[in-house]
Amino acid sequence: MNNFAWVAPRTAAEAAAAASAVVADAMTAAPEAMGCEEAAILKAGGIDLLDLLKENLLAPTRLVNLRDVPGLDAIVEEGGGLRIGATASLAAVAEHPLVRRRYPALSDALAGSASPQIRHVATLGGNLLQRPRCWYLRAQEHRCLRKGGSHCFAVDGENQYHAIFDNQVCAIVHPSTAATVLVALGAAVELIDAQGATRSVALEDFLVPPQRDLRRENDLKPREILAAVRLPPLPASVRMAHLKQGEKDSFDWPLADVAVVVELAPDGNCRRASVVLGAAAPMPHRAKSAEQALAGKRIDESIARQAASAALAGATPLAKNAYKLPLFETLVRRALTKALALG
Amino acid sequence: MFAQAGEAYTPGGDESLHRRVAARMRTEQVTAQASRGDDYGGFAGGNKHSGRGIGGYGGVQFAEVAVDTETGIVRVERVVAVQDCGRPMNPRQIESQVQGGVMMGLSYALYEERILDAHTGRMVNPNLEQYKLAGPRETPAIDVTVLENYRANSATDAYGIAEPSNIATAPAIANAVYNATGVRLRALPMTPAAILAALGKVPARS
Repeated sequence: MNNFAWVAPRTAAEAAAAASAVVADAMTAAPEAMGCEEAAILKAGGIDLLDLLKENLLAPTRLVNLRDVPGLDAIVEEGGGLRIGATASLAAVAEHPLVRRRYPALSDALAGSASPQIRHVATLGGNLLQRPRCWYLRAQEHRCLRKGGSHCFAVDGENQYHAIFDNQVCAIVHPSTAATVLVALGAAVELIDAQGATRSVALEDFLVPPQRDLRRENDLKPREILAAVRLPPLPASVRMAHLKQGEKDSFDWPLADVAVVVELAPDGNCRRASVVLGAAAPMPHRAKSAEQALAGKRIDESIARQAASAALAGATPLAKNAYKLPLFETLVRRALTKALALG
Repeated sequence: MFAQAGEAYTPGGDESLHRRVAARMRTEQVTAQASRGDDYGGFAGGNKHSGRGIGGYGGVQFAEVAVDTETGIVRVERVVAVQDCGRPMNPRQIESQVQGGVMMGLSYALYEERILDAHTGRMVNPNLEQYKLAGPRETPAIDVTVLENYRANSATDAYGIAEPSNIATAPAIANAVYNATGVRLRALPMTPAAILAALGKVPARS
């Protein structure tokens, strides 16, 4: 781990002005150049960042501390929806009464993530912007595609925890469980630049698939910060659930996680549905076939089974992760069962 | 059946004879002998082998598991551990030691694996984030029974029981998984991937 200077901005715009590089760019610098180039990196909870520093994957000259920027962790009601400040801790979001009442799937996803200690330090913004957990990306000795190398070690290597969709070039899975739910909910992110100007982008568009850029997972720019996550207001007839399955219950990454959000018509039929799979693809994976299988139907056990099976349409499992197919199918069915209180 | 060529099998007898006989047995025959008292060093004739590493460490464990046959997740709900410990000098500490041994055995059965990349030879999970160990929520109810045993093997008759208490856990869990699902897993750890494959639920790649 290198020495670095500490920057303590007092406003979001000051923080944006100080942040000269995003983590993804700083990590693709050649190893011999690391620490020589000027790079000021944002730090919120520091959960992911300190791992990267300690593994010598990142050597910033300055860290810009977002934690003490006043008001950046506020959770406020906004026209029937919710605006969650980027530095709100996962625990604070999970326990917030309005999150629990209006977006119980988000509360469930965050309440079960990592460990209690980490949930109280990790921030929602940091969770969305963390680098993937691929063990090749996280090891200095594997100079993989995403670090500027020329080879994906996972595609023909140890890929038991990797993607089953969209995995032909780089087989990472998106690391954020929160993102699975937030994409299903249609959330947007609010970004602030050095002049204090904001832009708001749907989270689904903010995340970057490998086809667009292999070296980053999101569209955060230098001199910009992720200031908040915006949750849209939802009709009272919306039902939702999030389920995740890790190998362990304590402190483990999900092998698979699923968010379902179903809006019911007055007759009780499904008006529209979002089914999103996490730990399945480089981005939260929208299971469009499953959504189509649910639209317009009165969802019962049999429809839930059909949708679960449809959710895996088009999957291209690798040598060691085909077990994720039955796992996801089970979770989609169970998530629908839970959301709609079937059976 | 296995005592051939005039070599009589006598419990507590010549240890080298036991080894020669055992070497000729098929695996399942050797396994069939594993629970006999003489396998633990010979309760009758241990002293004449002094200096050859014969101890008196017996332990028996029982595991109760729940297997989710749709996700492949195994949860150990209860372990009963009966551990021979010679003279218990500090019974609470022995119980704690056995509980620790059970947790190590549980991790070995379900989680721990040193994963090497076949192309580069590097270990890909050399940290506590990727190398999996059982945590608080994987901890089953553990009932420990400390079995006293006085055989004048030493001045105090006290044994160390650090390692012995984690030997039986993984086999007990594997047997319980077999009992629950009807399929035998021959490799550890018994991950969801391995369980689902053993149950025939993992589709072949097209």
